[in-house]
Amino acid sequence: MGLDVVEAVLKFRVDAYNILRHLYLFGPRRHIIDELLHLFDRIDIANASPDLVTSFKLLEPLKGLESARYEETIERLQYEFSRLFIGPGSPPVPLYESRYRSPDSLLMQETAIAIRLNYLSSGLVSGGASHIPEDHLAVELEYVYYLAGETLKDFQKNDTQTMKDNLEEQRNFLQGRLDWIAEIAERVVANSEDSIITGIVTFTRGIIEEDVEWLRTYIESASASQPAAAMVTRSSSDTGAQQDGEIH
Amino acid sequence: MGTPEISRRTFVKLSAAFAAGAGLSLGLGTDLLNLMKIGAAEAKELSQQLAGVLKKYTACAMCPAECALEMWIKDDRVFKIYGNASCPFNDGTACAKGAAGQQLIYSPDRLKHPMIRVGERGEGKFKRVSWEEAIDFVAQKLTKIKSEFGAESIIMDAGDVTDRDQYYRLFFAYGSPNCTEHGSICDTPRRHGPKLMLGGKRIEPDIMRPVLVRQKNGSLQYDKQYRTKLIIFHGWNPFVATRITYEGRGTVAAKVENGCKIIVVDPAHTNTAAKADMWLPIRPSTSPDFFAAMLRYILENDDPTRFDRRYIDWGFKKFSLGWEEFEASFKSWWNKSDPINNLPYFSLEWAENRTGLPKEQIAEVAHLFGITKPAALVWGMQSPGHNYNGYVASILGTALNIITGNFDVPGGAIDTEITKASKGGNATGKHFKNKKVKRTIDGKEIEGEVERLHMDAYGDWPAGWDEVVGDFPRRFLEGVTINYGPFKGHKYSIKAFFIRTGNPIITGSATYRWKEALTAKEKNGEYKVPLVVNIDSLYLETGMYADVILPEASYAERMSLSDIYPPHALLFLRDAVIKPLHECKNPTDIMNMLAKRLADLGDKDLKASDFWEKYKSEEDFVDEMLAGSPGMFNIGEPLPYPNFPEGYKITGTPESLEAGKVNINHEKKEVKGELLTVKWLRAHKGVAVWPMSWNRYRRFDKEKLEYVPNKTWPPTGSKMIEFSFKRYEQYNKLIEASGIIPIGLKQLGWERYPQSFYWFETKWNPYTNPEYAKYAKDFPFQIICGRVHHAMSGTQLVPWLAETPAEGTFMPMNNAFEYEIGDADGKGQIQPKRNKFKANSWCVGTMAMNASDATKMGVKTGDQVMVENPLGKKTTTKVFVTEGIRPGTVKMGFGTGGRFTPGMGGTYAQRNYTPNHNELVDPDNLSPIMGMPTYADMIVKITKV
Ligand code: SF4
Repeated sequence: MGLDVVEAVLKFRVDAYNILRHLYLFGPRRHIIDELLHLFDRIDIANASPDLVTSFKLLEPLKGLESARYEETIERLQYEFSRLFIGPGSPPVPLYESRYRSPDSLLMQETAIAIRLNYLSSGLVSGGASHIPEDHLAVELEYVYYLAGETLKDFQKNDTQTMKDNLEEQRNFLQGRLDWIAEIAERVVANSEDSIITGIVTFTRGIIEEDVEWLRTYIESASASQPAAAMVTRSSSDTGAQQDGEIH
Repeated sequence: MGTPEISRRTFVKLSAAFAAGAGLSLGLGTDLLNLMKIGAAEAKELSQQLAGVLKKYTACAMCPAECALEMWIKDDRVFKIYGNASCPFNDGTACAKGAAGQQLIYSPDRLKHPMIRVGERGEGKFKRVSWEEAIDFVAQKLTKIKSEFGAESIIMDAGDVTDRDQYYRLFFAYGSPNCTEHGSICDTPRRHGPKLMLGGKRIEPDIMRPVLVRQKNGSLQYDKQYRTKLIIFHGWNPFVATRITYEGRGTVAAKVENGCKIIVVDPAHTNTAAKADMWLPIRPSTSPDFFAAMLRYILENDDPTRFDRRYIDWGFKKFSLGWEEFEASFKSWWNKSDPINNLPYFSLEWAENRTGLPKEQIAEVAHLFGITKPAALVWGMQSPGHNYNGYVASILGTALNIITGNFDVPGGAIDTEITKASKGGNATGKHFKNKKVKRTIDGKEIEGEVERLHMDAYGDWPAGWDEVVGDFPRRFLEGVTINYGPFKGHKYSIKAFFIRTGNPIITGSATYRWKEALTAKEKNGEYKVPLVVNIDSLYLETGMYADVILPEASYAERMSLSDIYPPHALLFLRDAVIKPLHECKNPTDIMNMLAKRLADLGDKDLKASDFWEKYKSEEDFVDEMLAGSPGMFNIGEPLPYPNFPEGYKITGTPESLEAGKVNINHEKKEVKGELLTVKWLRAHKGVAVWPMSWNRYRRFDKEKLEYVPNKTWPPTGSKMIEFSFKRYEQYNKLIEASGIIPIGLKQLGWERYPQSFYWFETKWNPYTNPEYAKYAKDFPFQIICGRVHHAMSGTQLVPWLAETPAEGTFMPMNNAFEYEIGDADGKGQIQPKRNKFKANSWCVGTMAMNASDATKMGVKTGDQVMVENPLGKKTTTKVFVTEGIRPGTVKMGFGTGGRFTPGMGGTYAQRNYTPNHNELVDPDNLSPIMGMPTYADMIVKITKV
């Protein structure tokens, strides 16, 4: 049917990480939650991991809410988000990686250097408009969002080597750095009874885990089945491969 | 060829509806928000910079707070400085000054090589020599001095910062008991009350958070709750003057999180006052008056039956001795009339007349302090710390905290001197002072311990405890006479003065008196004090008067320990994070070199086994300092170690104590875990934290079912709170045995140190002391002085801070100048660079003056004036006109101006028009009990230049 499954996944990834970085940077504002719910339309729940199924179940009721109730829920959600993640005082689930790597420390620990080196490897430094430290969840998600966007461009330009490097960096980053999302999710479950927030963090963890798995199989099988220089091709002569990739 | 496997397993729906692709979430925007793209070359360079970075944990020394720091090191250079987040003392924070430390470490003005003087003292002419030459020069002189005049004729003054133990050890072993520190010339009256009554020194509000606390379930957790409801800062300005890092952030946090009220009593509207709910611009030098009126009001109006008058928590009596006598002695003044105003002592009217504050306001503060609990009354360094009669204020302040039930309660007033971990142990070498020596007095040979030759404790200032007395310049000119103990009648001259990291010419008593003492000559043309040695990393004014300069490693290059005023046991390492720069050496190496050379020259008191063979590295030395840590008692609530017996002394690493890996000695009442070491600290980000508890003076008696004194703490003679001044008894015994009354007591007309509350007037205050009333007309201003945090000598070498003004006393009011400074080269490295500074772009020492006074005098901001005291001594300054100071009062910073050493960087260029407050101090006005210069008692006249 000519639909490129790889491209579809790559596009999905860009949008998913874009929504997530906004969500953890600005909190659950209405337009962000709207986008999150739209994203569910693109997920094949029947094929999805338990986390994604759970989060779907927890978030789906939002869709049916009439406008006033929806607004109300969003407002409650914003309060709960602040309580859990922001403060005042010491929030039960801080969104800074360093707080998880070395529990007796605040910001600027060993993680800071490692994260900066990650960003620099892709020509990025933290310090955009938001002024939040580099180990904040939203910044780390933005990094993956950036790389996902670059990967899509590489794919479209057919620049396979750069795409491979990018994908490997993403896999390493998600696996080796963003694994602390698991602890965030656990802490939220322990500290909140709000099903929507629980749905959001479960979704975040679910997406990252699904993505890691996708990246793993993609990188491995691509490396095994073809020369590295042509890991993914979209040339017209290669439609078979694309068709093989179709989901039925 | 293909990529079949990859997409078989995916959760993304493939539908034409989504084929439009990325950017579906259009409402969100696609730009980067937190990250920025930079050029490939720049990214590569930054990566390379980061790649070799080592993080090391150490402690600051740029002010007495000594915060725990994290330094980033690359290629053995300090690259970045942050607060160490593992240390609850500063909890990850560092002030601008601490974070700018590279500019001090890499300052072009640092001392770099050993030097020997070639010109006259004060001319600043030196020649560069090798370490061997310098050490030999000093050792030869010391050997000669010891054989001709006795080892006691040298003074080792170890200056302001810590890391002094090596020098104490060296000179105690050499045979002199006269080792001292900057504390001898600073704020001893402030510490007197807590020392007398609690065995302590400094009372601070319980606002260091987090603190590690034992929980009911046995676990340890950080407590972050602020409980303090009221803090009265009296002459204490933690936001600008001396930093106790937690005090600044804790004050704000207690206010925001706990609604704590802040009252500031200070003639100047300080930065602390700016955070306060109430500012009382008190007349300078009247702190005891204010406290006495508070205590009288509280005693007169206390009513246990009324909730709004329940000021006193009478439970304190059970845990203290001598209250009745103290109260009776205090009340005995109530019916006497004060000659200056004919009003009864300590009444509100009397206090209004003397302090210049409305009596209603004094009553309100007393009432608020009485009913608000927990609260803390804290008094400061400048006043009463630097007043002739500051002792009275600190005694009253301590009593006020105790009787209102605020002493050592959660959120109350903590004496941090007696709650911190002990350190030093045998490394300091105090045991060398027990060595017996012989002296011939009036033809008779007398034997006694080295200790008994102490110039103060057995000389003119027996109550100058902790080796702190500031009567130096007189000693240099007149010598020492021992009045007490076995060596009574023994006289000796001061023949050598070692000054290490201190700068008494600017910070101790009058500058002119110090110059006079260090340049005075004998008839034969030799200097009266023939050897002056300066050990420092900076070239300060006192260094200009030295014969030998030994360049010491900076705080980033040497190792020691830090533990400044926490409310419980907590220690952190000052690590040598880089190798010493230039030819500088660390204190352990300097100690060993000098000890070895003295031994080579035949001095039998300096043994290899006590020095160079015992301490092969700094780490060996610091390990010994740590051996007795924390040395805390297992007391208070919640009990720090419920598994160990209550009241036992605890030593060992937090880890081993927690794991129960200990030996318990019931006879000695000791619990010993694994020894704390540098290695352990390094493995724990440089920090050791043991649990906090409160109410450490009591224990629960399970038979009586009530709290009783635990007789373990506080560390007074009776191990109880003492309102009767038992500590003075030992000095009175010395007086009785010898029949000689110390000079300070003679001035007061006393024969003995009193056993209970006492009162006497300060000097140079025409508004409280009738003796000085005659000066009021011609010298209409009282002058006060305050430390400016970023204008201490070391930090004036940090030009990055030169744009930070402070309270009218350190303002960007410079004349244009050019100077070589150390500045960042764009790669984070400091390099020497010649800079031009425009007028009014660089902070210089100034004098704050009230606007109404300025109008009367026709003076405006920036005008140059001459300030003169009744002794005819003068200093010049630019004026800063402000509403933020009490009329009739002017204020200067301490050590901000008149800095005549070229080692002071850009500040040196301003020396001719900036003020040196110490030119105005009366060098003969020493506070009568501990002999400290009274920097805060002076009046002046001001004329426009
Ligand atoms: S407060 Fe003092 S010790 Fe702490 S960082 Fe600043 S200068 Fe250093």
